[in-house]
Amino acid sequence: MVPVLLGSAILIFFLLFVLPGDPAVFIAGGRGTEAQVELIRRSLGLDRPVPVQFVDWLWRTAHGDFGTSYINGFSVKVLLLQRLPVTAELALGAIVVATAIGLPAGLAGALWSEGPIGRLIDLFNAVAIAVPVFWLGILFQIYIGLQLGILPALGYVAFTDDPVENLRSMVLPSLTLGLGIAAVIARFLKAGILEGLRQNYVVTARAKGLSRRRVLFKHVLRNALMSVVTVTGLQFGGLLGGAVLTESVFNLPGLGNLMWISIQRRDYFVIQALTLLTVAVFLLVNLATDLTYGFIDPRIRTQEEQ
Amino acid sequence: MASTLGAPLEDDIVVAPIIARSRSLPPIVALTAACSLLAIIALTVFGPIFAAAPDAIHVGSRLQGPSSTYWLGTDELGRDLLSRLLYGGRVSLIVGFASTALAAIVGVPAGLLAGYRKGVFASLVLRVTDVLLAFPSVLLAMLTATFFGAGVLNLSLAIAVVNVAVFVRLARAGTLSQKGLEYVDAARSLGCSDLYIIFRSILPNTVSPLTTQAALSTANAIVLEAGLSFLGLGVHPPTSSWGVMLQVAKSYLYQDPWYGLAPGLLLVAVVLSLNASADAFPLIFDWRLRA
Repeated sequence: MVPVLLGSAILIFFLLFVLPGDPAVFIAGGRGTEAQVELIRRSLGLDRPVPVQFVDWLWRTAHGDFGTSYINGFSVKVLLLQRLPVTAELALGAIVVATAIGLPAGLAGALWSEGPIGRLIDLFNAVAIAVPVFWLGILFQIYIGLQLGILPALGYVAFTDDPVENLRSMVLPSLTLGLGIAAVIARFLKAGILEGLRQNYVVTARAKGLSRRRVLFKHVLRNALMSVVTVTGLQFGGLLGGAVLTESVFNLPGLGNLMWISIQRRDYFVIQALTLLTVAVFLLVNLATDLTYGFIDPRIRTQEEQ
Repeated sequence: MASTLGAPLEDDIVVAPIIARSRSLPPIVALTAACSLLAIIALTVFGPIFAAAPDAIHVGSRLQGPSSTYWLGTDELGRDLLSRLLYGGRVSLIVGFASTALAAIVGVPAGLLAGYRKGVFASLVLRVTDVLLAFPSVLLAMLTATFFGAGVLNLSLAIAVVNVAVFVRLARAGTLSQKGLEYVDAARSLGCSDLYIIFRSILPNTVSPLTTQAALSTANAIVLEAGLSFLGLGVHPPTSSWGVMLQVAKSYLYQDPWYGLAPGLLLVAVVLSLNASADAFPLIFDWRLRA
């Protein structure tokens, strides 16, 4: 995990360094003279050699100091903390939508895999995976936000200001971001259950007199959940990326929006901190995924104890 | 899989989606998908010959709905939506196919070599793919797109960087599973060079999952291109692309819903047909399966 994080730090730093566009020029505005730009560059420490800047930045980041924004002078930590709740709420909402739709859909798809219900669910999965999040968001805005008018189509209300309005404003973004993940979950759950139902232990369990329901929920589902947990963990990375687009569609002031603004303005420290944060969260989620295997599957647990 | 702490994306996980799809779709679905894909490609290639100029501005007919003059209506400047849609489709498809080709051309040989021989090169390649896979693809695409700059070629490069790691991992996984087999030993004992073994013996036996991945990567690339253009990091106006059109349409949802619907529908149609025909790609490109 640490080498990957360090590798990402190096990649992101040097990618930014060779990025066309100089933050000093941006700060000086269109009419800055050569001398002014040079002065800004020096005051920001941008005139130092790249490796020196990198080591300095890495050292401070490792100590929890992410620097200050070039543009508005705010501490990067403050900027991140301000916007973190929005994205966290969006991610949570998307996961809720994804599991609330994906698990029943996968189960139903497996149980009625031959009939029209199964085909309908297959079709839903295929379409939901193919639809780009930003277009889905636009569709929701047109049909649910504007034409039906039952949910706000745009904007964000802080939870502390108005909890009900906050939840209402997050429904469409969460649906937008979560529907594609729901389809992936449904697909893997269905494949897992169908695979499980063919195993010999199912025949044995039925033969010793267990009900179909018990075999399905106690034996097959548990095994099928393994692959579902794996893909849900992997989808989390896509979720963080999708948040950028979803926040852009719905004008949410979250981390994705901050990322977009910072890239436009060449606000290096903010981009670096955000990227590292994203990669770290992604790696942590993968770690957590690995750990849940032990909870779901006792065979893995005992393997590790031995 | 419990031992993957610290190495989040093992080969089996990268390969897993493809294995999960291997339950092959009925051929009729794959065939329909392939045909609709070809139809859309034909539309974007030949359609513009008959369509109006995409940049021609018709003042006085802005944001009109579908009519006999403008089949899909007009945009906010009074330009014909249908012809912008067809020209935009060229950009989306070119970026999709070019970036996948680039990613495969770089990624597959790198993966084959890294799988065949252990050493500095192999571990370097693996570390780099580890890092690339740890980035969410939209985020990485935003960074590389800013790095390479706007334009069709630059956009293809930027998206190729995002997609290259999967090809490396797949090619490596295939090589690892093949290199211990007898036919490789036989080839070596006949005095074949390593390069001959890798590219003439091992590659043909690992090509099936790669072709499936190529279809999925192309779909992914087309969505990424649209996403980047939607964020304003893709092609620049007046060039049209489906993502650019959606970005502008976002401001006119109320006046002209068609503007926001049409590009998205085509986008979904392309991605859907690529995903659905992905399973059929090995049948087209893997000569052993055909024989």
